[in-house]
Order: sequence, then structure tokens, then C-alpha cells
Amino acid sequence: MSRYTPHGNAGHRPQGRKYKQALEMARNRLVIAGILFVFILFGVGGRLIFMGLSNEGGEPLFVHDAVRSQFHQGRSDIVDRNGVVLATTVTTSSLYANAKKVLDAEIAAKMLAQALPGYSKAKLLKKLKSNRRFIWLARHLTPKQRDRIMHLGIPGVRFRKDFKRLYPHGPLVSHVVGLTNIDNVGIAGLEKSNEQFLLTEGKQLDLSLDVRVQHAIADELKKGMQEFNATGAAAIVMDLQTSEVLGMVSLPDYNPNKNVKLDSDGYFNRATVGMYEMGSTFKILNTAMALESGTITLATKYDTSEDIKIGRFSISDYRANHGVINVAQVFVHSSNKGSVKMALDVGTEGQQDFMQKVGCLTRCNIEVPEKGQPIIPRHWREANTMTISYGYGLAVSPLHLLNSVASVVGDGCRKEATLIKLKEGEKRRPCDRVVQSSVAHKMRQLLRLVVVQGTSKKANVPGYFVAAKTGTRNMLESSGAYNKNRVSTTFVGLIGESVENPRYIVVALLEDPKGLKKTFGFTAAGWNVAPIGGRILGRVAPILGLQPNLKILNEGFDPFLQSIDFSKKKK
Amino acid sequence: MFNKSTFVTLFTLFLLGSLTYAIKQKVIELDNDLAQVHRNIAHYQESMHILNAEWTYLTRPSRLQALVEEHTSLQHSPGVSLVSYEEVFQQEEGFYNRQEPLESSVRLASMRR
Repeated sequence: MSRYTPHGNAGHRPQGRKYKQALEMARNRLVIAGILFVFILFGVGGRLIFMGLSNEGGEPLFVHDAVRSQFHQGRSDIVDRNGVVLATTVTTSSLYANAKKVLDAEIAAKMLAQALPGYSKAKLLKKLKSNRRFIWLARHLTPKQRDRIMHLGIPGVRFRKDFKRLYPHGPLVSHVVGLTNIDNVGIAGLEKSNEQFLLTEGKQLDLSLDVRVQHAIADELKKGMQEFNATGAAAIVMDLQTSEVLGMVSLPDYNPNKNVKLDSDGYFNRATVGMYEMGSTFKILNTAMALESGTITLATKYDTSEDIKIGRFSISDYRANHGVINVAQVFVHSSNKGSVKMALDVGTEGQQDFMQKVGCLTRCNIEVPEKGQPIIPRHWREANTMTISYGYGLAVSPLHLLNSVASVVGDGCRKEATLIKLKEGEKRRPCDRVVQSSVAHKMRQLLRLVVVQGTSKKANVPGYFVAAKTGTRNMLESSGAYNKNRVSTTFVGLIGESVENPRYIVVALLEDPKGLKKTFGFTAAGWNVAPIGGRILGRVAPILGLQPNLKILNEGFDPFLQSIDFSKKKK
Repeated sequence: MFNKSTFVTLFTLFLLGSLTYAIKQKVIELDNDLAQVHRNIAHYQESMHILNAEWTYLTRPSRLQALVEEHTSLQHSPGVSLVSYEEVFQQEEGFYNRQEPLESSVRLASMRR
């Protein structure tokens, strides 16, 4: 029996060589096939093991996405110096439509209008008929509204996770913190200037503000504004040692949680944008300038008996003629004529340099984007030098006044108010000297005398060293003329434990306060803004833990100043 | 053809395969648990965040002041009422130094009763 019959020829045995070749070929093929199978087997096996060990596939990716998902609030919080939230972001739902998939726009619009009070059916219908694949129908729904719409089951109407910026304190810090638009983009205040930080850093923004101080200021300002029927008000409290702003209020204000018209009066920040001639509070700068220049001492005398003529105008003092008086009396009695003579002794150039040095001629470096440019004379002549000495002819913001006065009454170093909380290492900055510390010390004594003997008596706070100065100026009409019946009043005050250790400074301003029966019809700063400033200082000091000093507060005073008679009789 | 070693190999392969599968399933299960834990953390963080905002809203100074004015006769504390810790300590010391005699304390107690 033959095992191999290639030609079907039984009994015929193939040739030995050909038979061997065929066998060899078959074996080779088998070996190759075997090797191939082994490779495939190893490949499949290896792949199986690899898939078993690794996390390849659809579902593990999903799991890892979930693991990575962490709480994301979109935009960082803004907090005060004690960690109290001033601005935060909450997750909400917003409603959108794929108008192409809406089956019956009329019915859908009717149902949605019923579920969303305040949304007009006509507007919803217009959107639903727009034939667009994506169109917002309603932003930031409440959970109840969301549930109601979900139960309607309208095809083509869907929800999307959204973020909403909230301001728990409402209008209280509106002018500092600012606000965002509906898409959470900062459009005002620190929300605008710190856009990148809030979106990318993932850290909260710590402000220097203290919300308790902010409230005390706002409360006193509102009461004062109401009492004197003023059209506007502003106040800032700053730490004299660190230049951190603890409170900044501008009234009227706005509620950033509601829709704000950006051209409304409430949106205007009087503290940083409003430019005012500051009246007699500028005499602080004028006197410091003259003392620093060395042209005067506290004992230098000026004759204030005659009015000073500039062209057809004349400069006089408010309701008094003091005769020949020294610099301290000029300051305490707020003599315009004495101040003019002091400024003339320093000269126009000297005054310009000094105003530049204290920052009254340039925009402030504060962090909010809303800050104004001072209105300075186009041609700074001698007449300007004279009027600027008592606070007319150069308009600055309350913030400018705060920075400049803080520079000359603090330690003599330039102060630049900041709204960002400083870290420990940042609190001691290199001193850019404006006046010598001895001049600053003299200025504090003079300011204290204004509280004891001058126009700021109503600003005194028992138990503390309070030093202050007031300023009243007539308001400019649109015609360019001064209105004698309308004024804006300014107050600058310091509070501390002693003349050596002033801690906080406040600037307050009232716009167009009216005379009252209790003020005998007067609208001067000493009657309206000075008591408001004093009340602010009196409320703020205990909040900030300032220790009262029940000892004699004129300790460390210049004996010369203690010997002066400040009674208002003509010498 | 299928000798003993082949069976052993196949059995070992099956065992290893099953083990690998079981481990993989366990890992997926743990991954799911971990994801759930992370979701819960995120949820709690969000809840805390909202509660913090709500707490700030409820304790805003204007509201507290309105409540105090409505329900109490408290006023702002003037600065002179502040004393330092050292001063409190001095007062306490003085208080203990002038201890009343035992009889008067007993008399006071009986009067109160």
C-alpha cells in the first residue's frame, strides 16, 4: 500500500530525490506556520496580559476623570483682612436652547414664560425661533426654577453649569471690590484690575480692608449725609504705619448683586475719581512745605491785617482779622492771608516741587482702576501759588489728600495707600523722605491744637490723641464761577495714643451739605464733616484695638506752642 | 501530543489570567470608590463654600447693627471703656487683696437667700 500517490498511479513509487524535496518543503512550511502561530499566540497572549494589567479601555478613563474632578469655583474669592468674604462665586444652572430641535416654539415659549416669572414670552419666542444651535434663554436659575423647567421636558431646551458672582455685603464694599458682568468678567474695581490673579492663581485675594471699619465709616457717612442733606460723601481710613487702607466708602453707592447702570451717580467713586479743591486742609501741606524748606519756624510772624489783592480779587480770612500772628496761629486760625504769605516765601517752583513730591500732581498708585488725574493749573503762576496755599486752584481726590497728608504728618516718608493686605515682610518699605520727622512731629502738634483750640473741636474723641484739620470751599458751577451758597467740606484727622504715636488717618468729605438750625445755618466743615470725622475715628479706634491714653495728651508738646494764646482777638 | 506539561502550562495560564482579571476588577472597583470619595469631597467643599457665603451674608455688620438696635439698648462702646489685659489683672489683684471677713460673706449669703 502506497502512502504517497501524487499522480494517482498506484504501485508507482516516486523518485527518491523528488520525494525528499517534497518532504523537506512540507516540513519547512510546517515550521514556518508553527513559528507564525507561536508568534500570533504570544502576540494575543501578551496583548491580553497587557490589557489585563493596564487600564486601557473606555470606562477606566471615565473613572480617572472623576478622580481628577475637584471643586472648581471658577473665580477666586475676595476677602477682607480677617478672611471675611467680600466676593465669592457659586455654581448655578443656566438655560439654553438648540432652536433647531425645538418642536413647537409657541408652546415652549408659553411654558417657559410661566415657569420663569419676569421673562417675557415674546422675547423667549424670538429666541426659540432664531434657528440657532445655541442661544441663552435664562442665566443663573434658582434650584426651584431649574426643577420646574426640567419637569416641563421641552425638547431642545437644556441646562448648562454656570457660575455666578455674589457680593454678600451688597453695596458696602462696592466701590473697592467692583463687580463682574454676567459672564464673570471683571468690569470695575479690584474685580477688573485683578482679573488675571482671580482667574489663574487659584488663591483668594486678601484685601487690607476691615469690613467692620468699612461699615462704621459707611454708617456714619450715611447718617451725616442724611442729616445735612448732602448730595455725596466719601471717606477713607488708612493705617499710618503700613499705608494699608482699612476702609474706603463713597456715597451714593450701588449694589453689585443687581444690574448696575455704569453711568449712574452711584457708580462714581468720589474717593478716588472725584476731584475737589480741598480748601483749608491744603494748609497742612502748605505749612509742612514752608517748615521743610526752612523759610519759616513756628515763631515766624505774618501780618494778616490787610487783605491781599490779586488783580480784581482779594484774599481775606473767614470772619476774622487776626493782625500780626505767628505760624502756629496762622494754622490754628486757618488764616488764608498768612498761608499765602508762607507760600510766597517758598516760591512757585518750591510749591510745585513739593506738590509733586507728596503726589498731588499725578494719578495715585492704588489698585482700583477708577482713579482720577488731579486738575492742575495750565500755567502755574504766582496767583496760583497763592490760591493753592489755602486749597483753591488745584483739585485732587480725597485719596490724594490722604496720601499727601499722611506723608507729612506720619514719619515724614511718602505714603501710597494700598488696598491689598501686606505680608509681614512687606510692611517695612524703604523710606522715600518727603519731610524731616521733626517737621512731621510739629505738624501733628499743630493739628492737635486745631482740635483743642480751632475748628475741629467737634472731632475730639475722649481718651485718644486726635489731631485734625477741616476745609471748606465754595463749589464751582458749570459756568466756571464759584457758588457762594454751595460748599464741599473736608476733614483730615489722625488718631493714636500720643503725639509720638499716631496710628490711623481719616479723610472725610461732604458734597454740598446744607445749613441746619443746630449749626446756626453755617455750612463750614467744623459744623458738619468734623463731627462725622470724629465719630468715625471714635468708632474705628476701639474696633482696631487702639488703647486709650487717659494721661495728659499734650505730653511731649513744644513749650513754645503751649505758651501761645490762641484766643481770637485782634493783636 | 498533549502531555502533562502542556496541561500544567495551560492551567497556570488560566490561573494567572483569572488572577489578573480579578485584580483588574478590584482596581476598577477601588478607582470607582476613590472617584466617589473625590466627588463627595468636591460636593462638601461646594456646600461649605455656599454656607460660608451665607454666613457672611447673615453676619454682615449692617444686619447685626440693625438687630442690636431693634432688640437691645446696646450702643457703640467708647474707646475709654477699653482696658489692657495688664490693667484687668491689676484690678483683679486689688480685688483679692481686699478680701472681706468671713462673717460678712456669710451675712451677705444669708441675705441673698
